[in-house]
Amino acid sequence: MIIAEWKPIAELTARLRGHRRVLVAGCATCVAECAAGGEREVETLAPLLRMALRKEGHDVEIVTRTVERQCEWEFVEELAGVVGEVDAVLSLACGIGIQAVAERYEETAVYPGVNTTSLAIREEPGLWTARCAACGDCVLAETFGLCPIARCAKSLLNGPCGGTHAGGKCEVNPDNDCIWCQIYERARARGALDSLVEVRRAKDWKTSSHGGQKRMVREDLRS
Amino acid sequence: MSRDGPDSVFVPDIVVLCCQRSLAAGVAEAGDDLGAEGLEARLVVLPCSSKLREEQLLRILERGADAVQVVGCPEGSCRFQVGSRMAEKRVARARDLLGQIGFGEERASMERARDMGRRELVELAARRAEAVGPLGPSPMKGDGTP
Repeated sequence: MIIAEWKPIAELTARLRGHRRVLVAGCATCVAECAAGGEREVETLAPLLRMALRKEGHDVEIVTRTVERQCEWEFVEELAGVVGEVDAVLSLACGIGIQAVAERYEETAVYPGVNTTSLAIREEPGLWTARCAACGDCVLAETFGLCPIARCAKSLLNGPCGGTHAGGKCEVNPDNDCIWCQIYERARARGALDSLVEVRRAKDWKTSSHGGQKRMVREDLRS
Repeated sequence: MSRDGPDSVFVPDIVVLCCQRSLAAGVAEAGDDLGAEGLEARLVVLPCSSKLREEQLLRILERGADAVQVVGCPEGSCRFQVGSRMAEKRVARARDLLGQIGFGEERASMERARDMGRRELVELAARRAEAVGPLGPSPMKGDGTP
């Protein structure tokens, strides 16, 4: 899922000062799963913002709505009525959803309520870890299903580096496992250590965040 | 509600959210008014303290209560094993959020107890009132938010 986390509340209140009526808009998919932008988080943030703004002496009315997905136009359309009644939207969706709302309602100020951080999995309640960097050139077949691009601090293709701590922890963040140690262990369990001796050539990063906006076209699906 | 004119004495309005199993027999049926001299307090009985969510706690404060006191079962005696532990974490997060907006962490608190009689509940509410006294009345008093 795409994960995100609230921006600092002081940053949000600074954005909303001066507005008359604001919609806090949630998204019931990824950001709900990571407890940042679903209905529950919308209904938690809204009273906080009302209290913070009132304490500062700003009279801002805050209304709330949560749609199924802010990254799909038919769900974004559900906000049409309420957006017409406000002068700003604070979206708790990921960066995709925020941009979709801003594009559909381009005459209304649309602000991000969260920072979108990564593509992650929920390891356990309250802990999410990045698993994919959306690099556009998947190497998981060569690394036994463990991604060194997203999960190695140096995105090494020929790891591990020399700094792995005892116990297989990363030298950059000891809370994280060294993914290359895990790749090694999985290769050994499969009797395939020889494959790690092969040198993986430098990655072609042009499929990643370089070269401008990524596009994917499927002519068979286009109308 | 408890704010009168500028010269009046601040009488905090406290909402006590209490797990039903933290109460002594018969207390829940005796009414929700926990008021005493210098104190306005109301009791709300929960089926388990873990039923409380941060958004509900914040909504109570948004509507003008000066503080919320949560009461859950002691560690190890929660009927649902981890209910009061979950409530404790939620209250801790609410306190952190209230601190971030400068509203005062003391406006939310959690206590663990069993067999709470009316007198103990009033004393607990009075302690919470004393803790929020320096903060003064909630800025949300008279807001009328639905």
